[in-house]
Amino acid sequence: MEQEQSTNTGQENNSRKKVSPAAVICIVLLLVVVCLGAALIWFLTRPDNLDDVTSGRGTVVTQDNVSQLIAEAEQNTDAAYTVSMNIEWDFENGTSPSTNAYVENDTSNLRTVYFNVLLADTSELVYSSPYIPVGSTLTGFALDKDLEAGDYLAVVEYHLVDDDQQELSTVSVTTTLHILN
Amino acid sequence: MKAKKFLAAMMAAVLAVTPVTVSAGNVTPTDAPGSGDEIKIDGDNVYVDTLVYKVTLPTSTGLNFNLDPQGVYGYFSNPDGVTNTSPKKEDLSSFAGKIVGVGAHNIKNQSSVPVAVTCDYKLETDASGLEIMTTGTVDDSKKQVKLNIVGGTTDNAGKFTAAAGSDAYEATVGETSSKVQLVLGEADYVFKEDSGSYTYEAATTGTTETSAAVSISGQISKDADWSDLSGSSAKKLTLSCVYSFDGVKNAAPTGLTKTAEGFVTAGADKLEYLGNSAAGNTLTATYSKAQGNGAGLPVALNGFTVRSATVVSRPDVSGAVSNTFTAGDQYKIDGDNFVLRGPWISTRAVGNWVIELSDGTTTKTLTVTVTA
Repeated sequence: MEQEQSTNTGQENNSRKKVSPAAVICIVLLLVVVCLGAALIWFLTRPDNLDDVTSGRGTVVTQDNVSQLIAEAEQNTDAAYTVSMNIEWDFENGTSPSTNAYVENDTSNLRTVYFNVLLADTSELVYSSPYIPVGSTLTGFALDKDLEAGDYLAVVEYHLVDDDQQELSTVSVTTTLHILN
Repeated sequence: MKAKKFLAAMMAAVLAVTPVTVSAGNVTPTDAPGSGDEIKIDGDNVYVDTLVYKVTLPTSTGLNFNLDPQGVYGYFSNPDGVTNTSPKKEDLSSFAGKIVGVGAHNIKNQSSVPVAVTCDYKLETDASGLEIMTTGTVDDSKKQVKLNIVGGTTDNAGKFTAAAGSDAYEATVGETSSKVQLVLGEADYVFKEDSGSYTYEAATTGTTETSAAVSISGQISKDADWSDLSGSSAKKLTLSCVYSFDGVKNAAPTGLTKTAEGFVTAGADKLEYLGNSAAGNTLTATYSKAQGNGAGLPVALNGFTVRSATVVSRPDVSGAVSNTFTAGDQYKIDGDNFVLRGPWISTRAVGNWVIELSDGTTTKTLTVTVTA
């Protein structure tokens, strides 16, 4: 009986397939790719909280929230921003840095900002700046898109961020892009 | 765009730590703001202009507003104090049905030149059944909003005071472009010499800034169901604004049209309307029956073409009306004037007559106050 049992066990062992190291690696890589893909899909499809900060919003007042709203109105944080910029930006061509664009985060401001440049007629993003701390200035930057020669009315959309780079508020100012060649 | 911002955010986080691209040292003092095209100092040194505007503006947070159908916010935030901590409905009635801005905001010009600041507003919603009004009055039995931008000043404590005058300092914001414009005088700038080079800097005394204030107000239907604008899946009612700057010269600034008050000149601080502002379509006139003596009442059209005229409200009839005018009978067009003919206007009841003038696309609301 014991011999039969040992024989049966040996047959069971032989029937199990051995997984090669290469297969293990492939499976692990596949799992990693799937997880990254899921994460990327989640990130890209989640609601963009930018819509919550690019415009003022109406809040319905009730007896439950009236005290909170009154307190928030008294604080009134991030309600203003001092823009310091010129409004006619020259570029020798669509890939060259601007010869005269000037954007300053004035010392009277309280927040770091970055700005996006969007074409006024299509809302196409043609430039996104790095963060500009208070008291700093950005000049000599090239657009992210190679525009053809011509004049373009654009909107400079400033984004105020907190110390964790979370979006707080925005303010938009028009400018004109002159692509000379 | 989201992917790019994801990468940009990561890269920007690195740049913020190692500020190579952006630093205070990127710009030398001689690149600081100037004014005019060229400035000669002592006839020798020339400071080439890179005209920079320095203007403080309300952000999107500054455009937040509260919808107060019951009057609770207005009652408890009343600067004159709260008389009853458990108010009844009648205590709230004078505050009910209003839109209240979250503070008034100064638009400050700290540039070395006068600046015309154009504010292009837009009010939008994704709530079903919500009507955004630009003319007329809000009907409490419906679901309507009418939001206004009001021009004025604020004191040091931030208390807002609407500018003197009536409609000229209030603009109603619609779902398309609604523009108002402020013209603000310049701040004082001085030249400073530093090791042989010159800078043009804001003065620390004298006029350091010139400002005007804008505030949000308006009306909403008191009896509507506003629950869809609350909660975690709330619909939105949003107010956005895009600002533009124009240097102001002695001549009329670009984009300003002649109003009843004339052109705005450099150094003036006031709120003006541009042609496509909803509130630029508000006209008023007064007719005295005693002084008119049967004479007609001309109202300037400023280039507007009247294709139809309809009385929508009259003091001798309650509720809305719709009395269509016939050219040549109740009115005539004389040059650039809409003229209410003498035989008609002189026999009207005392009170406010609201007449809608249309060119087929745009409607102007003319309110004629007839006095005895």
